Amino acid sequence: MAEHHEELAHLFLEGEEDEALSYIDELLNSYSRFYVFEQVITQSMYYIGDLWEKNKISVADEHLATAVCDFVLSKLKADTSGVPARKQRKHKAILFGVEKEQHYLGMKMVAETFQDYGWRVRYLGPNLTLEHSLAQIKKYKPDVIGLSAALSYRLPTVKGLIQQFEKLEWRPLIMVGGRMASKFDLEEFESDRVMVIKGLPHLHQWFKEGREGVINETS
Amino acid sequence: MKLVDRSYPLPFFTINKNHSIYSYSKEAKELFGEPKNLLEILDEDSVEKMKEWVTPDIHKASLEVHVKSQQEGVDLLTVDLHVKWDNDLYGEVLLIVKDEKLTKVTRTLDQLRSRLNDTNFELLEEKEKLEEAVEQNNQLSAPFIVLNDQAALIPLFGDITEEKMYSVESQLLQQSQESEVDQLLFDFTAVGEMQRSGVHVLLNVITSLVYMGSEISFIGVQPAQAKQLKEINLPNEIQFLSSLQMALNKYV
Repeated sequence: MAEHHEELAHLFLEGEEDEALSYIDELLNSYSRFYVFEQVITQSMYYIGDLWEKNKISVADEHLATAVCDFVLSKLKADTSGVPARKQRKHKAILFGVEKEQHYLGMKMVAETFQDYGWRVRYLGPNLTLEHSLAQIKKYKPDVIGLSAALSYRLPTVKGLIQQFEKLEWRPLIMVGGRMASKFDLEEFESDRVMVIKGLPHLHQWFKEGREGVINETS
Repeated sequence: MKLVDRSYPLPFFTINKNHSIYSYSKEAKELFGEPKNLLEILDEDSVEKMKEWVTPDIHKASLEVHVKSQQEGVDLLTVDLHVKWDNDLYGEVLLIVKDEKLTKVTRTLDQLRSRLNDTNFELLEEKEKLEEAVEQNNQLSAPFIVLNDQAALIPLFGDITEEKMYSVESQLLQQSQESEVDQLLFDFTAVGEMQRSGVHVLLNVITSLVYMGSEISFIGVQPAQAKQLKEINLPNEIQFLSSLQMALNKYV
């Protein structure tokens, strides 16, 4: 039997959004949302990247798979009833992909995760300029600002954003994530205000235990 | 390395098995400058792919790769790469930039997606506003009215829900402590439906108040509600009065 993520990847590539949805629904009967996000959906998109590298599919196929995956994620989101209001902790997060960055599926799953933990979330989408993000951030005053980048070309942009966000007077926690964070060593960015998130398991760990060595102010 | 005139107007390179460039066409120079090695123009994530597929072991191949763009505002271009080897030392490589139309379609899709996201966003904002309004409404549904230095009246409004009872819990406890009145009169006249989970939270609130030394009276309990209240273990200290008038006569 093929692995779950491979089966799902083929549904994405064939543009079978309904089948993909029911496939995931079925998985959710026996696995946690966290497992499905991390071990199935994320892995299926990595697998699709591998297929491209093996010259088996084209960029156009990848785009289709991305769109189907996006649809599926949005649909999954709509079906969850969310946390009861009394448990709604009033913490807020803003999430976005940095300028020119077109990868956004991971961010979407991160937004889901924050919501699962009862946070209020503004997911601003990919390719956001500094002005736009800063305007939204100043208006919303989030406790966490999450920015995501996949490609190494974004490093200077990320650096610039961090410098800007560190000036904010209410001292939000800045989280840097995306494939870039798991692939490169971004330790130089880390500080008491900046945290590099190396993937969904790392984020879950933060929610549960706070930051290593640092008291989780928001828990 | 030399500039050669090819008969067809396309970016063209000749390379050896290490991907070093022997010659290139004018169109190649316009797009990619004058690299020494073909790997130099590649996006880092395409390097492995090129190494695997562009090798004399594979006589002919076609593949997609990403190349770094010299254009302002564009990071990467997707190109179709066609390669054919005459021998180990001489491979011909043709790069064809993907049709502009694909880029256009991609961009349009991006725009549509961000518009959907904006709409989603506005809906989310409205939803949160609504939730706040409901929360506020909940908090106002159990006002604490001090009648004199002994008694306070707490008329409950609307359905008894879990959510509502949680919203009023802390303010009731706090106000009863601050006001120092002993007699708390809960008026059920304006109560609609009582949800089991809501009644449960209410019971917790009442128990806490009893522990804090308050005497509790329930006023105006309707028959259906009485049945529901019977099902739970209310503290024995609670008194029941049929009307507000009776309560006022007694305590005010």
